[in-house]
Amino acid sequence: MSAIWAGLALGAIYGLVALGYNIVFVSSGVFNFAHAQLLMLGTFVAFFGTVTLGLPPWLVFVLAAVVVALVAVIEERTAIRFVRSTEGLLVTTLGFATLLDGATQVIWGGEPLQVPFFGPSEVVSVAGGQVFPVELVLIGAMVLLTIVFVLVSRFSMLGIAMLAVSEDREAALMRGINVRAYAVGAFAVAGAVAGALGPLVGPKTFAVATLGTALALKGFVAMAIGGFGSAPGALIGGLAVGLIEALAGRYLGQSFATLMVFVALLAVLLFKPTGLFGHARERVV
Amino acid sequence: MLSVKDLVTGYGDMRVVREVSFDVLPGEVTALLGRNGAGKTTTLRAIAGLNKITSGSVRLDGADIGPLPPHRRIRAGLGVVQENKRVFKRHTVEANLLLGGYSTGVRRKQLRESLEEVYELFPALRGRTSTPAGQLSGGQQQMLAIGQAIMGRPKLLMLDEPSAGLAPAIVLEVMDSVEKLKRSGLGILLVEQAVEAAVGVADRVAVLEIGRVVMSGPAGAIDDLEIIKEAYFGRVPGTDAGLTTGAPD
Repeated sequence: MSAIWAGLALGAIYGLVALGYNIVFVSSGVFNFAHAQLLMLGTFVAFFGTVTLGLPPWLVFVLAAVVVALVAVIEERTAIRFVRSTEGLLVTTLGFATLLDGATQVIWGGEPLQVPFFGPSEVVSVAGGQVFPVELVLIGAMVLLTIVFVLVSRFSMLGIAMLAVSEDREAALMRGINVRAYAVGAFAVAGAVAGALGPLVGPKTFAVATLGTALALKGFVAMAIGGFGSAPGALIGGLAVGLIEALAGRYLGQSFATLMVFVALLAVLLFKPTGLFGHARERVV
Repeated sequence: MLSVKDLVTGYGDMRVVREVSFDVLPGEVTALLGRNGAGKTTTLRAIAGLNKITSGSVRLDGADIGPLPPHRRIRAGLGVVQENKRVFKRHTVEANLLLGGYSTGVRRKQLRESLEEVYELFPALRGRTSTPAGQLSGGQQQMLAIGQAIMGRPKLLMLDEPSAGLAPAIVLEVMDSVEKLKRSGLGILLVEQAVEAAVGVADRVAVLEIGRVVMSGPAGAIDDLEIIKEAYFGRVPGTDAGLTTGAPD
């Protein structure tokens, strides 16, 4: 059971990356390869706020959310807005990710930095397994965020408009929707969420400049399994990847952990290419 | 209402429409006719802000809307129904309609009133409010697309090939709704290939040929559709019957 808890907590982090990919993808049609690096930046800001400045927890959350949201908006303004082609966006978002990797290494160095959790740090026993409180909070935060995004996208006009932009940007423009503002807003929201979760992710992963690259791939797999554009898909995909990785590592050996994740991905894509919760998209040709 | 003057537009460096001019007045339908590739849709897209205007002007109620981005043109009073029934297929009928008014500054109370107006205009939509738009018939999708545009309470409605791909009986129903909207005082720019359907509701016509207006004038002056059909095929008729050739003044 302890392996399951560890897998779910790790899966919640993958799910957060996938959710960030989805928020931006749904609103602007852009796949932001730098999103995992934004989550990584959140852990560094959490370290800076907690350890370096000694700020109270609530202020660390706010600081991390604001800083990462700002960086995400800067990314949209410099690496996204003026790029017309999908291939170009691949290069510029990967470039921004590399820039963030390098910047964090220059500022905070290459060694992993421990981000203290603001709550209790003793292991607790839940459902027959050992789990850290921060891991339970991470899982709860991911579930809560998914519920919020599902409710917003289904029952608010903002969410309905966001999905309309995702389905047909030009038709959305012709309904008076400012699709560019939605794109900036999506980057800001995805950045704020990534930043605000830095104080929860950091205690589990440490703040380290290689974290973004490590999370990017598994976050992408989580999104592919769950389905592009689906918040519940991000949650289920993330938790599935975390569980498979933890259980395969526990029972088959560490060398099989990542391998089994990709076996699961292949199986899902073989039987449901759009992912578990994804939709096939119509394209006007 | 809408005044298009010497409009030049196209795609990138390619000029598709050259010095096109026409007006749309309140409570009137101006039909922009022409065969496939004549530049009708390109003209409409330029007015809507989807294609860049190289030169010329587009004025709505006297205000130059040419420099505005597309979404601000919609908020300024343009209602656009694009070709191919561009509704949001995963959203319900009601969500599609509410979206039509959501970003145009229409108040919540007015949105409810507008919804009722749309259901009165298209009773077929009333019983399908919770149906995803993708499950509607082609005709109902076209009605929904028109309803979406009306929800924004536009001053001018632009319809791009509303009869395309529809059964004749549905075309009559759609054109009947155009007639009703015209009678409510709305100015309408109707882009069509189907000459008979368009001339039936039009007050003015302008025929485009290879990006230029080759004939324009009051629809009432046309007593023989063959005149327009000749213009379609490049044989520009004389100025009899009150019609003028070339761009209007």
